[in-house]
Amino acid sequence: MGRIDFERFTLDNGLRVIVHKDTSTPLACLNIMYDVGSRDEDPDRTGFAHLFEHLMFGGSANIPSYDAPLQMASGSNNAFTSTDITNYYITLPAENLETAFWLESDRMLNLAFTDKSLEVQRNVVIEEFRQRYLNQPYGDAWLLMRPLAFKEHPYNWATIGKEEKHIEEATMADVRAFFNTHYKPKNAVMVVAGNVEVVAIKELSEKWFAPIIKGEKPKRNLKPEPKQTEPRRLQVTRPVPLDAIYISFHMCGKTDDDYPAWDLLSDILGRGDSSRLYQKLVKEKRLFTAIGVFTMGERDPSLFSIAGHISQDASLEEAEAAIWEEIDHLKTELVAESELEKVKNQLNANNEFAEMELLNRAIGLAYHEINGDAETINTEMEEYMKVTPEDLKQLVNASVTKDNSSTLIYKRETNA
Amino acid sequence: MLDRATAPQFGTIKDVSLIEPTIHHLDNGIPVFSVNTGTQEVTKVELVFDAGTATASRTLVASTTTKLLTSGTSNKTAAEIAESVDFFGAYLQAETSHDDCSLNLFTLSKYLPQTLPILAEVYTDVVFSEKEITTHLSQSQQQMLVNREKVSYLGAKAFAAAMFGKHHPYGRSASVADYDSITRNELVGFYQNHVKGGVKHIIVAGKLSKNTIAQLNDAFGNTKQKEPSPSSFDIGPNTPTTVHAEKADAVQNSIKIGRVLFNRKHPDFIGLQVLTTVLGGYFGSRLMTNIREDKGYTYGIGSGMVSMKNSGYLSISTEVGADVCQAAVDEIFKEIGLLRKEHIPIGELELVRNYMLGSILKSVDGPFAIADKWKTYLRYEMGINSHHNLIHQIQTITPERLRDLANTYLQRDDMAVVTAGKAMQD
Repeated sequence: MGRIDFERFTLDNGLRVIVHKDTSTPLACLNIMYDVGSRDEDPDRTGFAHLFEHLMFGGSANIPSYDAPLQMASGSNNAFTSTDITNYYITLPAENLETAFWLESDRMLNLAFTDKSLEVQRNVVIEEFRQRYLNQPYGDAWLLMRPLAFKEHPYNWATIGKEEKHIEEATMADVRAFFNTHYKPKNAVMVVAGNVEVVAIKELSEKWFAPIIKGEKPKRNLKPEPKQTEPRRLQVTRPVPLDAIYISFHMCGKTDDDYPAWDLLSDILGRGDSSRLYQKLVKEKRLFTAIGVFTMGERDPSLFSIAGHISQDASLEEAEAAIWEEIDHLKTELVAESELEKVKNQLNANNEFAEMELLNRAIGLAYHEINGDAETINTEMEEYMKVTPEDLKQLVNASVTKDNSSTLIYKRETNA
Repeated sequence: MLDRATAPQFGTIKDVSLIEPTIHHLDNGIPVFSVNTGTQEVTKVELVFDAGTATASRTLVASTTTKLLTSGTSNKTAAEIAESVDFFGAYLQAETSHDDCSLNLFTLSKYLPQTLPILAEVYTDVVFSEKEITTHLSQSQQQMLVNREKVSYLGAKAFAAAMFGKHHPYGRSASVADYDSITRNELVGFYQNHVKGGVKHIIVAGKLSKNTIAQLNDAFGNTKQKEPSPSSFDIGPNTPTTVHAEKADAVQNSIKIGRVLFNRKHPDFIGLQVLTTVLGGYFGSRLMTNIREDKGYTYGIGSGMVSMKNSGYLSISTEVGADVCQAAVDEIFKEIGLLRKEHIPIGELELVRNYMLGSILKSVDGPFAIADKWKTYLRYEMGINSHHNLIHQIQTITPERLRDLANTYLQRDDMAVVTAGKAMQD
């Protein structure tokens, strides 16, 4: 595996900067990750971190239009928000990198909010809510699962928000307060990657970002999720053609020692056509038309989930029982060394494919730094390699249990 | 004092270099296009066949055949194939487009010797077991029932049919009932006639070793190849129409507007690419600015040119609140009208040129991206001059020329207007 080399420095105002040099490309990426996500929201005003991400494109202190000057410099950009972080990225020809510094530093300095842009972005986000969550079959699955699985921790709501109403009610005062609290140099990590020189990046960082006042890193005091002690279940009826089942289990957070084992467990059950659930439940027994297994990969203790569409020829009961049968195998029998080696190989190869993209390397570095240390991008595979069949068996016995499960069922409307 | 109000100096892209593939021929004459570059130890091998959906006699035949290429050989079951590919962290994927299909192997370069023979076996020896066929068809049929709940899917089907005709190779799409009538003979026939022995060329890309071509020759160099029999069919005249596909419980409607034009070999294609970028091809485009950033009707809207081997079309696509569907259609036509009436201001055109050149630069970064670019050019038998021409035209096209193109090709009366979702109120 190729190492991702980088250098790090911190400005006086607390902004952490990481430089990853790659001379094989004519491009450069500038990625800024803010340590704020939907878990930092007020439970009565959800969807705010994401709405705010939209407002970040509405013009800043000295630059009325964010996009036009970037496009003029042959660049492109986008952003995304998760429960944990908000990330902004730019890709452009390396020679035009200063344009990216100019734009990103100005909107970290101060935004120029207008009533018009707040009103329009509220509408845009509501249309996004409808397009991605309400107007798709099974689109509201995570809007339903999160409150079922989380009773206290703010992972209880999805990044898009609990309901349209919260977005409609966002005010200008909320927007300003959010910016002033979270969009501070100390609360951000910047990664510059591509055909760049470290010395030049230091100069540009000093020039554009050092003048931004320091501010405080906001304190985070989230309610921990109490241990679940009995099975939870929610059944909804929807105009969908196939019944569906989602089962989620509480698991550890992304930086926990157990995370690699959880991740490999999800691969054994669900990655690729040779995975257990695909072979047994989709191909052999034909109970499902599709099935997937994944970890959320969130920073705080989060969810391990199995989700499948149940074949019209199968009953919900037999489909659900078959998933548990596969889980029970893992509780009694060790995974073969060769099967574990397979999922480790898959992960290794997958990283190699993903790292072909400069932007993926930049985002990965920022993410690891926010979670503690960028260097873990180079060392985390070692932790995966250490996982043994015994580790997996222990994990399944301890945590992939009925008492730790939340089950969401979609029943199709009989006249659908 | 730092001047934050003035944009820093920037350069414009003078040229975008595109690595040309090295051409080799295997012992049996199969051409291999090799793109040896990149920083990661990975290899992609793509076998391309003249076996797209338009090649088959009816819907589902090509896509089902392609999908079942990994469903078992006389030596290996589907499960064994999956196991042997997954063990090396490789991917074996089949893709079908209108005009061709391809079988792709993605692998770490060091495992090419282990994974390439699987690709070769899969391509030359598919058995098409009844059990695999029925399982696949039943699951695809049920997946289609799920897709039919999406307005974007309903809109896309209706749009293709509106432009090309619902029985045309480019306009038809499968119905739920079609899955019940596909026979093994049709699939085997399509495989024998268009896939087995029908490798048009191989594209190999990544960090290659000096043995890669020899390995490809061992895997494919002694397979019997037949003369290609590319499909041909007529493209009817553009037929403007208005269609609504009903989905009464939709909260958003899909809108698709466009018309039949021509493919990328046509001298006006690049000009129309520039024009559709101005209209809706990037974040700051006129449609995004108007319909998203000013009106807040949508999460996103886009327009562009689509090229196929025997035709091409212009497409504008969005999903909007069902209550503002008609208003959005009106605004789209208002923006199209402005392109016909007024010259695009120099500053805006400059921005679009720079943005497009930046996009092209990004689109040829890395070996797999370069391979994809060449796959497209090879489909149209176009060479490096086409790439130079693309860059040159983007750099030099004038506002006058773009307005002429808009007047020639973007007349409202020539457009198909397709909506899917809740019926519109007048």
